[in-house]
Amino acid sequence: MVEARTINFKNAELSKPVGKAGEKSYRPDLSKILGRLESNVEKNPRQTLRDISNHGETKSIDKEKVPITQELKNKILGVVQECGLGKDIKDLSYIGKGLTGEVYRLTVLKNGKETIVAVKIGRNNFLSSQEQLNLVEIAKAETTGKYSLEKNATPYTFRRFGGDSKENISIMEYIPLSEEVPIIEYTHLQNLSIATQYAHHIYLLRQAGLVNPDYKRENLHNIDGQLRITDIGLVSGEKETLESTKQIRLKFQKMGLN
Amino acid sequence: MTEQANTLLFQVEQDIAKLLLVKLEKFDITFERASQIAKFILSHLPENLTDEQVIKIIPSLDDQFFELSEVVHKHMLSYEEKYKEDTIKNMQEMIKHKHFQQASNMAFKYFEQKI
Repeated sequence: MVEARTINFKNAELSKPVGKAGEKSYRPDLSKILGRLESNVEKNPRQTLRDISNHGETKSIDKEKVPITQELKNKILGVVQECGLGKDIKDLSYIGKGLTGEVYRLTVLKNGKETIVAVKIGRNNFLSSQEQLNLVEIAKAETTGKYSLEKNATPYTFRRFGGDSKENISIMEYIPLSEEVPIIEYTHLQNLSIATQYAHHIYLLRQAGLVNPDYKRENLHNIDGQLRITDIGLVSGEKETLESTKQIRLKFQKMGLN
Repeated sequence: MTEQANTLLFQVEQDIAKLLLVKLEKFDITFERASQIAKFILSHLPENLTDEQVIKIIPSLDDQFFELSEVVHKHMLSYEEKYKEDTIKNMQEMIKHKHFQQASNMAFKYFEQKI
């Protein structure tokens, strides 16, 4: 389950939600493109750099090639209506592939008002390891409303509007990272400072078995002193996660951070 | 192409292009990011730069794009290996002839480049 969380530097705790399944890296069909680019790299690397530079600009064209069927729209609309988020779909566009499925950006209309949410469609062939099974367990529990970190007053909260476990559809808060949230250019010292704080939190999170190690620079965003981490995957089952969460809270408290 | 392939510029471009391709293949980087890096390299390392000009630019490449640090590191190490012995010999010679200021300047220049 790919999630997005906020870590608050000032209070040194995981604080209010920034959402989940935000704008993920778009992954076009790379094999063909990379094969073409690689053929030039030995003889003319400058040309390869030019090609890479140009490919970054074709993203929006590639996105439009992903078909969105009426059937998919109808299924999503059903879930959205059940959640009470809206009555009509204004726009549905493909964002990219996550670990557990494909993510779409959905604009829904309710009484003339627009709401943008992220929609994740889980993959049916995802169940190939225990870790993945655990992820799906959590997703199912979340979808049916049985599992809520927010309700259980843990330091971790996230917004989830609803979903359909049979169809593997999840409706979540949308964060347009690449369009609206700037990636701040840091000095070396700032990077070091952020990395230290980041490492500290990640150490605790990993020790508690809460997250998987898919951390990349592109998933880190510093907004007003808060480090935002997107695409953190929960790795343990419902019961274990809640237990781990309690432990981590105790650790924060012991360290005077909570 | 063979002459060009021996230049530092060619080697740096090749290393960076290969690095980007590997990162793209492993999904370590998005196409947008790779495109930004490629654009940055093309504009900061224009064609026909001499090796001396390139080596002065290399240390600053990863200031903006941390992904380039391994390429920067590789070429800085190579620079250090190549010039370390020469610098030491020249400095010893200068010190022997009591040209302390020159020796100091040479050391400063070497470290400045190294950093």
